Amino acid sequence: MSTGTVIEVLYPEFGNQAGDNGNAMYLRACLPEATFIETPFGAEPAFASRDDISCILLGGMTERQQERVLEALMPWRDRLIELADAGIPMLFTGNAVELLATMIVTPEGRGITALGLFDIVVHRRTPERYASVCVGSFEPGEGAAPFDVVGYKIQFTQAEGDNRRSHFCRLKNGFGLNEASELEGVRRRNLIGTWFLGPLLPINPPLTRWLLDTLGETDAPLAFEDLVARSFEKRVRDFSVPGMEL
Amino acid sequence: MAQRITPTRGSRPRTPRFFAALVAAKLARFALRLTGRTGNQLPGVIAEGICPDFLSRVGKPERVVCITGTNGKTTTTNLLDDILLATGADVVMNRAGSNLLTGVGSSLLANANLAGSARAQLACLELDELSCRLVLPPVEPEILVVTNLYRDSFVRNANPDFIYSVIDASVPDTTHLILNADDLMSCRIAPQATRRTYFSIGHLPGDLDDAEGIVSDLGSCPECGGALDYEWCHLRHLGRAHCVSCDLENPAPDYLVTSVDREAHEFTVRECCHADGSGRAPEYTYHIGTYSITNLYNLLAAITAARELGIEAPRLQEILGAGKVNITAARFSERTVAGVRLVNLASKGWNSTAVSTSLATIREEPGTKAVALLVADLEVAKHEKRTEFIGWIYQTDFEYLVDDDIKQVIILGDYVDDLRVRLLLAGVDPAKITVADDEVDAGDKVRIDEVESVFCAYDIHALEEIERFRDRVAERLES
Repeated sequence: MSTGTVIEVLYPEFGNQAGDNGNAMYLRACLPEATFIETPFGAEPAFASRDDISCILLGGMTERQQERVLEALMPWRDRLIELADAGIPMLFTGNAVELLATMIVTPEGRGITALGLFDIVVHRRTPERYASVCVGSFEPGEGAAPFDVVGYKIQFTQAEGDNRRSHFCRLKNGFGLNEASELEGVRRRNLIGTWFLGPLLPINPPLTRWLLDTLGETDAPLAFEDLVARSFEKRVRDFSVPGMEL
Repeated sequence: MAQRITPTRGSRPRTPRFFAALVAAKLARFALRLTGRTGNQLPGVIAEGICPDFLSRVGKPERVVCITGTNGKTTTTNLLDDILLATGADVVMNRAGSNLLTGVGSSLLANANLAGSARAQLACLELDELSCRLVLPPVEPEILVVTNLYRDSFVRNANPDFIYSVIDASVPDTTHLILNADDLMSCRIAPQATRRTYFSIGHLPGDLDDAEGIVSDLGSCPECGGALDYEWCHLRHLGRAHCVSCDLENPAPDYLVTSVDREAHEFTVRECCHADGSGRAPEYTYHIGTYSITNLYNLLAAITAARELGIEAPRLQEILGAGKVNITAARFSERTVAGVRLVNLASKGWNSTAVSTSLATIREEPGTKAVALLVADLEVAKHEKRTEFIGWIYQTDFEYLVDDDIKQVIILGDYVDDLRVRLLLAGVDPAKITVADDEVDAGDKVRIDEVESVFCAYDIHALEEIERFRDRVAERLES
């Protein structure tokens, strides 16, 4: 029987370049009764017309696909803002977070207008790549204790802007918006955008717990909780070692 | 160390700096040979260090074939090497070295005399995709074979679009491209190179009707992002498809496999490019040793290159029929101990396509089996301050291991719990999953009484571990 939770996975055929598809895969295991909508490229997003969307996921893609997705989502920019401000959880991972910036600047200097949910500008510096392993602290909200998050960053970009009041997490190790920043990603209520890529939820059980609770799924157990917890503890230890790299 | 410079196209004059690099690199090569180390790229590193545009200045053979692509380039290069050697040609190769800039440099300097000129006049070189940027402009190969494009290690290669753009911008317009018509990604590469030959495998029994895998490298049209409609699919996204939005479709093949007889170890190639005035194309039947669709693609690519180099089809039939040209044992090796097959499959860890293909191969093998996965972070785990990016395990089709004949799956590694979670998400029975401490422990934990075969999918950097695993299983079987 459905729990009423409806999760929209945007463009799953694109958003899997670094294993970001692991987020939806793990959520399905945690929420076997939830409804998952997979919106392919070319189709209108379900969130555009439905009021029952509980959560939106979009994973990292190729740069070409990123530009196509930007074009496809641009007509729904205001709707995305409305949902974000209403507290609908969203997870934009890998270079999907760059869609939320005001602009993406290509290596040739071409500026691509992005959705503009956050006042940041992203610079693609292909073929330069930036990689780090990160440990940070996430503040779930008023009255709740912060907890650790871990992530991998492997990207062509560096961003500039002010995310002091709108970051996803404060890093203890690794780089944030750019190599000089310790503030990773963006956040607008329960919308999280982060360059952390790959299977973010399976490797971060506390974050997944927060997401499930925010969705109202407080009784849903984390899938394979013992294993993911053990792995998480090891990763927090390993990623906290100065100089740890991929 | 001198700074590496942007590669320029074509050959450049030889300077005193070049000769200093040549002599130093040759001395290094001589010293390495004295110590019995022949497969080292150090001479190339020294040459590039002293003369950063060494490759532009060293003499190249008159005919150079380069082979690149995500999967199959090593095997295809080795097959073509063997074919060329069987014709009696003197071939410059890099099969014992590396496929990076310095490996290619080492091979070319080994072939150069003290004046810097090339001795042998034919080279067959495997080329890493990212190294195309540095190697193709100065070398200007006569032929470039691109086997395919898939996602590879995300850490190293990012995504297939990026690799496409690297190769696309590097191919000289004079180079003759040999491309896989069944790969809608790589078949479109480098339109500036107008001489193009396509190979393809026609519809085969057992083909899929859509792209394969939990993630596809070609989930949509590479031109417009529209949906792709597959007529058939042989492997992953390799097959015949068209875009429902912009009508992009596979190019017409010049060399087409029209039939495969697995029992007879034979396949037939129609040479559409050599059709006579009435449209009738010649057909030739070739021997294939160990059949798999990947082996067939690799052999077809090598045959196409050989034919385009001018080797007559009957001579090729003879060479392949003699059975001396085959898939390298380092990639697929099998032995039988006490009636149990012990099979090792190279699987290129961090490369979800390669691992998925190995798992699909294992699933299709007959009989009950145990599967050991030595594909994880064995190499990285040796370094105190390195860790593995595990995103690839969420792109890999571990779902293939959900099979009644697969009785046991053995895993190990630094982050073994991640792999275990992924196997459970794939639906593998928890009772079938065995966690081992290391490769010897894995060998100890194989339930040898319950299976007819023991397969091991291993990363190519885990050659010592895989032998220790197999030796341990063999020891137990023999005792």
